[in-house]
Amino acid sequence: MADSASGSAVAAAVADGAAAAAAAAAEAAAVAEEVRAVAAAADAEAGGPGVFSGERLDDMTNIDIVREEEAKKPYVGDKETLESLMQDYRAYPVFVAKIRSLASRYGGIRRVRSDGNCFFRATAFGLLEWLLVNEADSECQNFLRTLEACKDRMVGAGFDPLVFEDALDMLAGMVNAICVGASVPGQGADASTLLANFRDDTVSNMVVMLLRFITSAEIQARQDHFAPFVLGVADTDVQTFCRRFVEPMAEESDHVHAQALCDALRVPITVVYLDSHERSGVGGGAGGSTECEVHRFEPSDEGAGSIAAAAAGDGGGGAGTGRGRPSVHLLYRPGHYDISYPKLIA
Amino acid sequence: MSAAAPSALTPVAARRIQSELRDFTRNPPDGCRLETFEPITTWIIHMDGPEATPGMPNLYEGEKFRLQVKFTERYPLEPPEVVFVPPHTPAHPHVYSNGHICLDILYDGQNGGWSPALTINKVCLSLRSMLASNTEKARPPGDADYCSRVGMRSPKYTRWVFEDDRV
Repeated sequence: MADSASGSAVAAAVADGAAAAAAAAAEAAAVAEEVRAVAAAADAEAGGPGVFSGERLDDMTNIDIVREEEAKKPYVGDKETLESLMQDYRAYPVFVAKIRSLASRYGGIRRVRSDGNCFFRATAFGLLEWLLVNEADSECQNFLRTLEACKDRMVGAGFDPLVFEDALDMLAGMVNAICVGASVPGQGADASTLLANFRDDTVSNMVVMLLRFITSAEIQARQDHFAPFVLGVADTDVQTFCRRFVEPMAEESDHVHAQALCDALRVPITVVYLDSHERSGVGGGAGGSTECEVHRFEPSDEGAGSIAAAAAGDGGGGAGTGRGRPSVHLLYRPGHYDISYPKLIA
Repeated sequence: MSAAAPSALTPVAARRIQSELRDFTRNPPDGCRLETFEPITTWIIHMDGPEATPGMPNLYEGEKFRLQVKFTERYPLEPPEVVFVPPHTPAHPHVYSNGHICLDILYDGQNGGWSPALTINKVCLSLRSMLASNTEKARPPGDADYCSRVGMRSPKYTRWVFEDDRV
């Protein structure tokens, strides 16, 4: 009963937020956080150890309500300036200051639907867009080799090939189309093809599904390495973690997923954290530092992608030469990832 | 969460179901046999009760059940609907008399354990192991009430609470 009562309160809050002229994203984030807390409390109450398995009587959870609102947005949005992000937070000085400080290094963002798959969707889009924009034919070939290595890892982890083959062909097809586009103007994939693919329910989610399997396989292939981190976030063994928190769609990601995917694809992922937290003592200013914290995930030499690269005679990082190596930049706000665009440094 | 709509299968779903059909026919899980798959989005599977194993009571050996699997157009992103076909459903604390099964891997969303890495083959193995590990023939509490309340509704519309998934 308590659960359904708070459910309607949250529904009202979400509806108001949508109706407001400028969506207050900070409030939405706060609501989402509260919703998660309420849902977690309800779960603890309903599903604790020793409790009977069976039917739960409430019809719609708070998470469903938030996700229903999100489902009206495209999986991947249009590119926006940081100014639009600033508008969302204009009533929150800490955020405004932090976004202002970001503007020296980042030129824009692209919003990704908040459906639990945002990390994987944002990373996939960010990587393919990098390949497209940089016309990096050799990096496309490297990525295709990486996908082959990931395939071996998935088979090794016990995935039935019939669950990933179609998705793998689909992603490889998209990469090939990017290659064609790069060398033969007017053919192959361009930016609008890429965006259309990532807005298509089937294509977009098959890519997410595949990256979830690749992440799971990477964690399982190096379970001695990942087990302590898994224990830290989920208090389970590696297999259970992968089966319950990596492979199912809509399960949220954290640093274990991020590191494993970065390793598997051999692509560094830079995450900028935008939250209300002021780091005191840093910089010595009166209000504490308003710099965003940055975490850069660097690919391990043990990852599927590095092994594929070494086998192909490309052991070095190669950074700093030519167009550089692919990388992905994300903006993280508590519970959600979007794509971010670093400014090009001449 | 929608019920199966055979006409609207995405090409990806259609190919995936075809692959699983081929695999299931060639390598059926122990004690299972495909009876019909007409239309291709609705399978009926024969499942023999698991044989007694040492140290466990003999509960289902010799019994025969039928399982109905319905695929949605978004399979495998969404789970299939899986029920035992009444009237003869296994007497088990997680199986209602109407055939609805309280097992996390059959459902998505909050608490759900379905993942597109699962196949019908693996689902059947899990159900057989759920029966094999049971120690007492009993229905879930509130069985009659639940069955009369949900009628012919899909179990996907029920909000399940799952206990330890090893049971």
